[in-house]
Amino acid sequence: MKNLLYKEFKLSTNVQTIIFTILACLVIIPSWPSLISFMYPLIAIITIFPISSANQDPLYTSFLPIKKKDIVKARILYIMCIEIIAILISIPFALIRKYLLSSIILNDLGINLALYGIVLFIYTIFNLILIPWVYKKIDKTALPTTISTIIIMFLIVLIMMVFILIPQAAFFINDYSTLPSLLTQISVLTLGILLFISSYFLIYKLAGNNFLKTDL
Amino acid sequence: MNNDYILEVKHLTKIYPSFKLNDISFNFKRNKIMGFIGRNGAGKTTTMKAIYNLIKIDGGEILYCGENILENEEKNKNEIGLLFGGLSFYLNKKVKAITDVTKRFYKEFDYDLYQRWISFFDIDENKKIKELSNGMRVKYNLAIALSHNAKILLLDEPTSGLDPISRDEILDCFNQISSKENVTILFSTHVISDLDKIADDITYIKEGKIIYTGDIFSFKNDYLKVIGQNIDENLKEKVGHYRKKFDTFEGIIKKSDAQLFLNYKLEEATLEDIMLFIERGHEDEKFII
Repeated sequence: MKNLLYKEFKLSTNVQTIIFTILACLVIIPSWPSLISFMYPLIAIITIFPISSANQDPLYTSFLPIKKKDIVKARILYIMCIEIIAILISIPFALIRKYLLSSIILNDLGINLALYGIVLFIYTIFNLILIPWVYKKIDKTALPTTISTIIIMFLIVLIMMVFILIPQAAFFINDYSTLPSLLTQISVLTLGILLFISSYFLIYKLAGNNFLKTDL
Repeated sequence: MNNDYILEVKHLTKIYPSFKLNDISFNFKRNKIMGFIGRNGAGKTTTMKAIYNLIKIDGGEILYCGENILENEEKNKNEIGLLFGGLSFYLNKKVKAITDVTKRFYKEFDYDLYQRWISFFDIDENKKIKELSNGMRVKYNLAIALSHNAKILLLDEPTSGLDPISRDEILDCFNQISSKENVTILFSTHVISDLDKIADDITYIKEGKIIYTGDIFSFKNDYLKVIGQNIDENLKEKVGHYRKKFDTFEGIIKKSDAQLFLNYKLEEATLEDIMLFIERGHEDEKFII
């Protein structure tokens, strides 16, 4: 698996992947909906599949002495790594925004622990839709990448709307001064982490089985 | 298990909506070169893909050294080199970058041996894959396959698109590999004359069915080329791939009919002649203009 991950980072990573992952730093922009900046790493991910296909990556990898299912496992882990890297990149910028650039609490999901729990939830949904679908027909990635991105955009808008339409919820979730609020943030974050990690097994099962049925 | 065979294809079936690989069986003898022939779409590439588990088969099994090839897929694939002519990966990456990744997957990758093959083939590792000619790409893939001590090479049209000199160099290379490095080679090509030069055995596939598998001499021994002037109309139906130029005709006959053609010049038929006889049968020359 170490070799396959090395292959993913060395051969499958393209310029767009790097740029769009780094764009998670846009969370620094004050008064900008915080969830939007976490969309960019998803664009980084959807560029991987068509570029891989153009480079004949599915065949190249299948020619290597590995189990067919391990190809899927490595790709899932690679995608999850990109998502984690994007989150790690965003953290210092989020802290700068929160403590140096803006003290206004918006009617929106601000910079707090729950934000990262929700981001992990969004990434889980994205991975669950995209990856098993892509591995049904590895050379036809346009539809899965487009549809999964649209669904995630709607999901983000929906989450933002909840906080805009229910200002008390936004105020509650952004509040660090009360214990219930802090506990809620920690719970959302923990739930997000658990969902993100446990989804790996389901995605691997679904995508792996789809790939085994695929003719290259 | 038969120890003479390194790879056995047994009752392999793959069904596509418009094509069926139909219950095919054949065996690879150790350290031999087997030519795999048949016209486009006959099932050669599908068979090779099935052997390497690139496609899901609908029936049959592939045995490698007597055991199902999927039982120990990683180990077995370490001993098999696969090369598709005209197929290149990561065109914008440098040769050394691809090697750096590829070599990590092979337990027996011999980097010194790889360097020797690279210098033998005169490949510049700092070039991008797209900067290599088709012949150089084939040679590079071959260098990789030979450096991980592959015991079998599955080569699908490795010489397609190559000039005659490059083709000849590669054929020499196959010959040396097979005899000196103890490698078994399955080699599909449309340049049938290449197989005349190097193949020990032939497997002929037509419309998804194996019509011959065995040694090349027995196969060629069943046919003769007949050349003459003014063929007797009664004999014409015995001649396949009949062609007439000026007052001379030529065609292919079965050796069992040879006594009928004693008044004509009889020659050894080439593999290409026989393939045309089998594929086109008694179909006469078609005139387009």
